[in-house]
Amino acid sequence: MAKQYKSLHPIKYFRDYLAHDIRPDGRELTKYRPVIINANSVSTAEGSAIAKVGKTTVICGIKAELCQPKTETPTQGFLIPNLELPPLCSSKFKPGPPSDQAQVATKVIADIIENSGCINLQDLCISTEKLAWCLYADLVCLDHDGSIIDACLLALFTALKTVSLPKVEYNAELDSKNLQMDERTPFKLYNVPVSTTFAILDETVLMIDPTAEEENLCTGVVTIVIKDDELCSVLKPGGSPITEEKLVDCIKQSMERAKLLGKLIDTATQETNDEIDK
Amino acid sequence: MSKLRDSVVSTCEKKFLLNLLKESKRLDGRAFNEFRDLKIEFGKDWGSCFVSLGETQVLAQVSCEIQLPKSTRPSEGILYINLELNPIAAPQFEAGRQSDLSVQLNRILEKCIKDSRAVDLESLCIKVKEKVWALRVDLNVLNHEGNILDCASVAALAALKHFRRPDVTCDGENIIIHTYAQRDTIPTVIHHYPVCISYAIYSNGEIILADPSLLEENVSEAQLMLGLNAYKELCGFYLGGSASVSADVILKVTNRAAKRALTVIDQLKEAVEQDDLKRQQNEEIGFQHSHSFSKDLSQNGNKLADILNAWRTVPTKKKKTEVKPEIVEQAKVEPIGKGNQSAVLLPPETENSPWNVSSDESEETENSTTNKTTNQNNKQEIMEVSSGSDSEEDQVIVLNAKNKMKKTKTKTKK
Amino acid sequence: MEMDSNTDCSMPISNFGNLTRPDGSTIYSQGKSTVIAGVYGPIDVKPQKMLIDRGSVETFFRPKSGLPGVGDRLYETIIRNICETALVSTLYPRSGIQVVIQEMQSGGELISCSVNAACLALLDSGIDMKFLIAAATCCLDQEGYLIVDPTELQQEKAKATFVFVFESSEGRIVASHTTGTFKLEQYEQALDLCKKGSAKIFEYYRKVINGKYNKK
Repeated sequence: MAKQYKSLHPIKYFRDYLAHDIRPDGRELTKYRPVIINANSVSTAEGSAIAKVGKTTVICGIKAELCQPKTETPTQGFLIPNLELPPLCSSKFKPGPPSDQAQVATKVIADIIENSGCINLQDLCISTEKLAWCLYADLVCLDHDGSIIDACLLALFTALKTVSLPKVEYNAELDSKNLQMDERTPFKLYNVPVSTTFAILDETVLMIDPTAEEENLCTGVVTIVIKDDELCSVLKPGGSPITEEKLVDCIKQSMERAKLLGKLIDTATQETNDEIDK
Repeated sequence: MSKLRDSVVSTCEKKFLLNLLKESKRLDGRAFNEFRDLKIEFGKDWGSCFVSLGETQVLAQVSCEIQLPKSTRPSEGILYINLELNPIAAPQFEAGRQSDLSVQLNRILEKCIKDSRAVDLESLCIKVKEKVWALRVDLNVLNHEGNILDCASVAALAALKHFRRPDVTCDGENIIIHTYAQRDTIPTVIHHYPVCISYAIYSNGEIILADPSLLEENVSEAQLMLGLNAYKELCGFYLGGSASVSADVILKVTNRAAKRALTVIDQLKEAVEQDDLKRQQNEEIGFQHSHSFSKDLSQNGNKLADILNAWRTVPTKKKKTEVKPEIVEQAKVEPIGKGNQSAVLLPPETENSPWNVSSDESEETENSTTNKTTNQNNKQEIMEVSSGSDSEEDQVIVLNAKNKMKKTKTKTKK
Repeated sequence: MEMDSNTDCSMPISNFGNLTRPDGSTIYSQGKSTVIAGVYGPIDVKPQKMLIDRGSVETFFRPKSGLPGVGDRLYETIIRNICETALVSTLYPRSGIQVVIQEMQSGGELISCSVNAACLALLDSGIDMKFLIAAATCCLDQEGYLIVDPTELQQEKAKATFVFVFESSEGRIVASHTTGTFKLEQYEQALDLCKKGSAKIFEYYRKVINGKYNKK
């Protein structure tokens, strides 16, 4: 009976739950889903990780290539994130060129990398104007169940933490390069930004870490990115208006969660780094 | 309430327009040979230009980038021209998709500007076979009220003329780009200015309209697009549609277009010079000072009702001040006001236009003395507007739209 | 923390109906940025985009040079969401509303400028709206001062920039977009400053609309 009710009146079904301060999956409004991350999941990549936030699953692989720096920025390398939302992860997406949603999410991730200053692109330069590393961070969503940015950032930064680059001997005069695969240096990450997403319903109800179903039924989302003790982005791309108090409340909640997520990434990467040491 | 995306021309609209043309009249009151007002404005960035031809508006922006030259032409820079039919211009235009119209217009512009070698590409070379400047002209159509091509070609050339690229120096291996603040910027070398002039053709070449409006374009049997520079050299030619036009007519139209091209190019150069002057005098520049902001609302509508209203309500005072500087032998280009960074082209005037047949005598005497010489010069190059018209009509040159309104007003008074 | 003395808000300028084709249009300039916005609606919509219970809102943001990139997609999405919130789209089922914004000149605070232009164009088109929207930008310089209505140079050098969009009925936040890093207190201060800035924009809307209808 509940099933029919849900498919006929999805919004009403949803509101009936919220009237009792509980969500359809049994969570309270301020309770987030379990988060799992796994580092070094892909052995062929320079760095990789899988992150699961509830059912949402994102895999990230980082490939390093040698290239020539741009004329405008001769002392900088590149880090190019790209999020793919294949038809596999949700029936919402069709095969073909990247959807608007994938492009927007990719841009949001690229902005966060730039804003947080978590990496220094000059670290990626080997020889000015001649040779630099280009890191391609490919994110693929395997299961889309809401809060995609949160999962992407977790996967991306866990993967970046595990990246180690081989030493390059470059002779500028002969234009010859020699890669030493055994001698690897870990890539330096200056900080680790993590995000928390909230869904807004009726301009008053706020839900932390929404599922895809909740995101669809709600009238707006807010994504807050925190690095260390600072804010790195407060993105509310339109949707229902909310009051300042509510927004500040969201920020405070996400700050608490950020500390835990930071610890989680540290623990996951610590283990893998220990394994390498052994 | 809702309207269809595609603009369909109804049969009665079509018939009405064609009947009107047979009576030697145009819907917006222009003479067959008359072009709409051309306005050129520049933004604060180099190579940013806004051109309006009547209500058709095009925004141009030139940008540059260092690239690898083509292997077939290792010592030449690259010029890209990209005309975009922005969905703002008309609801049927789709963003990011090439329609037949946009492909056609792009190709004509390319032929006219790029293939005629208007821009000196060799001066864009930094290092042979390695690094050259690639200039990219982006043209965004903002409002489609017919004759996009003329407007876009002027916008492209004005933007190219206005554009300055940063200076580069080469010390052996490395190439250093100096920012605009560090060093003086370099203008683009342009050999000649091939502007496009468009005509719409009806009844197998009997009626030829200059600068067709949207409806005139949609109803026309054929379109003639000519690329011409100031030296009367033909740089592009396109005749499309179903009308069969005799070669004589085309030649006559081309002669006529060459004259128009000259005035357009003068206006273009004048506008760029005005802007340069302003920059030298450190005056405030940019679109925020554009006169688009001070435009009167009632003059913006292109709807028939608005035009008919304007016919009666345009104040006479305003016109007199605009007529006076026009009594010279040639069409005149002049700036609008002070600090507006824009100029207007006022076409030459004759007393023989069908619009002022019954105009008051004081007007006549005032104009005739100065205009006689113009008439004689023009006589040979006047094209036949319609076979049915009498000799009086053949002498119609271009008439300022505002004058016309005044004259019809006097007519109605009588 | 002190407020910067440079808080004089240069009033925006705009004009309605510069474009004859769209149902509503405006040219809008704020500081050194200028955009042109046009609204078509309600118009017919492609079957795959048609919504049976409300009108579908499409937004295009066109940069003045180059093809629209990934960044412009983000702007498009933000502006579309804002317009969707402000419009009473349930009044226009099975039809489309198209908002097109063309950048003409960029001199800082381009997003604010675009949002405000979109709101004015929607007002001009006469499509029903729940409330008006106004955006304001402010930025945090390296010394920790907040600057309202920054210039392009100030924005480039800033430690962080904030863009807020407010609605007119209760002054709540419709959208927030930030770059750079900042503290929570700074965010709250910026929010407060921008709210004051948005009040000026709402005043300006009232003025231009008065001017528009009293003229006729």
